[in-house]
Amino acid sequence: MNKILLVIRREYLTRVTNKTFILMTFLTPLLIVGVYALIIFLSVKGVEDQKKIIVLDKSEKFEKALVSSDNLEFEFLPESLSGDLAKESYLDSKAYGLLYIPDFKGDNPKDVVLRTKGNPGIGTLTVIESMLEDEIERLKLQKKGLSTDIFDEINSDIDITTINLSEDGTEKKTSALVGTIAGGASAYMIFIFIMIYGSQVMRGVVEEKSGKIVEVIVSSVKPFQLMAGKIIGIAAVGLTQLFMWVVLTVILLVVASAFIGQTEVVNTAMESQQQLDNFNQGGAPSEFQVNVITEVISSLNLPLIVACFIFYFLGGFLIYASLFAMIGSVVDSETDTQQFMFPVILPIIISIGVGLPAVESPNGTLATVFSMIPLTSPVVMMARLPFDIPAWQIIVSMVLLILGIIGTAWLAGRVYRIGILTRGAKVSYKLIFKWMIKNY
Amino acid sequence: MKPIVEAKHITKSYGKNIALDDITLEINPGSIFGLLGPNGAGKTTFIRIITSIIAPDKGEILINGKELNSGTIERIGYLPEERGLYKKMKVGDQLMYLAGLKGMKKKEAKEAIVAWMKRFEMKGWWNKTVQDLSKGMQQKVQFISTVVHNPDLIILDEPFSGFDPVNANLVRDEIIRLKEEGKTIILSTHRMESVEELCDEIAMINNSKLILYGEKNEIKNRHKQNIWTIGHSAGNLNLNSGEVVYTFLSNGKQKTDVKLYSDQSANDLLKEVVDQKEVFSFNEKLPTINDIFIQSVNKKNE
Repeated sequence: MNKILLVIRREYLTRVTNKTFILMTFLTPLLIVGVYALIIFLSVKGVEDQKKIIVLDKSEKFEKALVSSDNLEFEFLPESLSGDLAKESYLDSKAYGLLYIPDFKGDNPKDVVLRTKGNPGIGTLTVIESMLEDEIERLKLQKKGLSTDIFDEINSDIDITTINLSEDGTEKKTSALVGTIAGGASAYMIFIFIMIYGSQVMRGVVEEKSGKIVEVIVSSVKPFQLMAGKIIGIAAVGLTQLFMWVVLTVILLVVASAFIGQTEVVNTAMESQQQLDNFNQGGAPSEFQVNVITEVISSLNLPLIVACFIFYFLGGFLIYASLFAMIGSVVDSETDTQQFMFPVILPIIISIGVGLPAVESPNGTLATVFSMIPLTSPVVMMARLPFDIPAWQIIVSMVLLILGIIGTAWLAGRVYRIGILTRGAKVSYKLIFKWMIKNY
Repeated sequence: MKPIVEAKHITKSYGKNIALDDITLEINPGSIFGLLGPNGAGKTTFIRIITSIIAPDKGEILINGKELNSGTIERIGYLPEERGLYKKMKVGDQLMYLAGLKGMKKKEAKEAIVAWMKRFEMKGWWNKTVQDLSKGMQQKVQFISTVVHNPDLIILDEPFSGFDPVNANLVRDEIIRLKEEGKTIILSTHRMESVEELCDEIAMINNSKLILYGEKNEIKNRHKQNIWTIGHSAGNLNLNSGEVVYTFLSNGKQKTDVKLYSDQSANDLLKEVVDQKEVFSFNEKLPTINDIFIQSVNKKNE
């Protein structure tokens, strides 16, 4: 046992003192906070950066509809101006685009054209389109004899709040969106960690074998101890990195918001959100929304999700790491690993394939079944977890995963102890299978 | 004297290939034991069984009269033929790790490593990374890792490969010194002159079977072919007691190897030579281990 600890210690220390590891550990939170800051910065800057659109409205119907805002400024040319002259004056100006609305007889204008010097942003286009659409709808209603007041009245804005009615009759507000994000994010996180750290296990085994150190080591420790020590050591490295990322991201966010001035950031963010709301719906921004989101987040069973995340994170890693260690032990060099990777990668890909739809219908048969199978359960169960699934399913899934880990580690260990000492053999699936079942 | 290693009817096969077939031998403490055999004969398998890296199908190994367990394994130092080090680790950390795996406490490990580094003129290597060392330097680190925990039984598989003559000599001297300290050394090598020089006892494995086993000099005597080497004044000999197999003239003195006929004695030969030439020397020629090796392997393979 003491020797396993030594192996774990070496695997852990050589990795966490590695420059790449330190760099990644510190850069990733910076990157996350950086992207976050960039989004805020852009949304703030977007307000300042007003785009000017020159409008040639031959129909003379939209002067009131196209209202200038902080984002867009509309400048109307005299209707009598010819199209060519309008183009010229646009090219001479610093305006962002030239909107041409032809005169039209029927209900809908045809051939509305927005000319820009570059590619117009999809956001700008959508805003202008919806402004024109609103106005045309208004005009149509007017034609049918309805007043514009009625139009404003029927133009409604709905937010659906979903309420989860549990069997004991208590009600909880949930939001499909928050659940989807929480489930999808944690499922993806597990997937990425299995891939990154699983292949680290494999590379570590190949390194020991091709570096010929392995025979020296196994004359002191049992092959299984060496394999287990390596896997546990690397799992600890993964947990360390995850922990550091969470802590550093939180610290950086706090520091960043203190630096910029939190209220300002939040205000500008909310302001720009409101302006967008105003644009699209003309409705009032809802403080209500913000409240619901916080309420929904607190409605997620956070302790359960965190506990399960750590469990499935470790469980998923252990089961795949054993398989990766097995592959590493049978090959002579890293390039040879490719041919054995597919059967190991396949269940991960299946679990992502099933896991993503699972956040849409978390209680579907497919998702339920795959959240029980050990190789797919870590990803699929995490995707389902935010949606209040029955406790027995979680327990069955966990028990099966633990059994799966023991079984996989045992089989992998049998192959590993022969594989690491076999060099230059032509290894096939048949041979690996033979090593698994026969006593050598 | 109680043997330090007792191998009893060791048999091991991989699928249809028999690697070791009923090997029984004993190794005495304080001796240098030569393990010989052509490539693929089963030497490495035998060593791996002694070091309990793999288990035999049949038979048992006793170390100091006890079955293998983690305690006995810590008393063994093994330098495999396929050897290497963690390339990116520092020399000191690496030796500390390997010593720790052999059950050494930190403090004693550090003391032992420092002492060995001093002996091998490796002062100031502690913080060097292995990949920055030359091959010979790496071999020195490797050798230290084998003996750092002061094992009673040291198993060296081709210990001289990778060393230049100066460092090979250093290792040879260490082997002799360790023997004088009372350690037992199993030496598996193809360098017959080392076997000739160092080994007290030898075992030869060919095609998974033990074909030769015993004390080195006794084996040499067993394989002698009744050839006598005579140093005499120049000129060819004319003999009735034996057949000249080799003669060589140098600086006016001649050396002749004579294989005696079975019914003749050395005295008969000497009498004949004395009558013809002036005799400077007269010795029985013993076969070299190299001769015995080649002869035994060829005979068995026929």
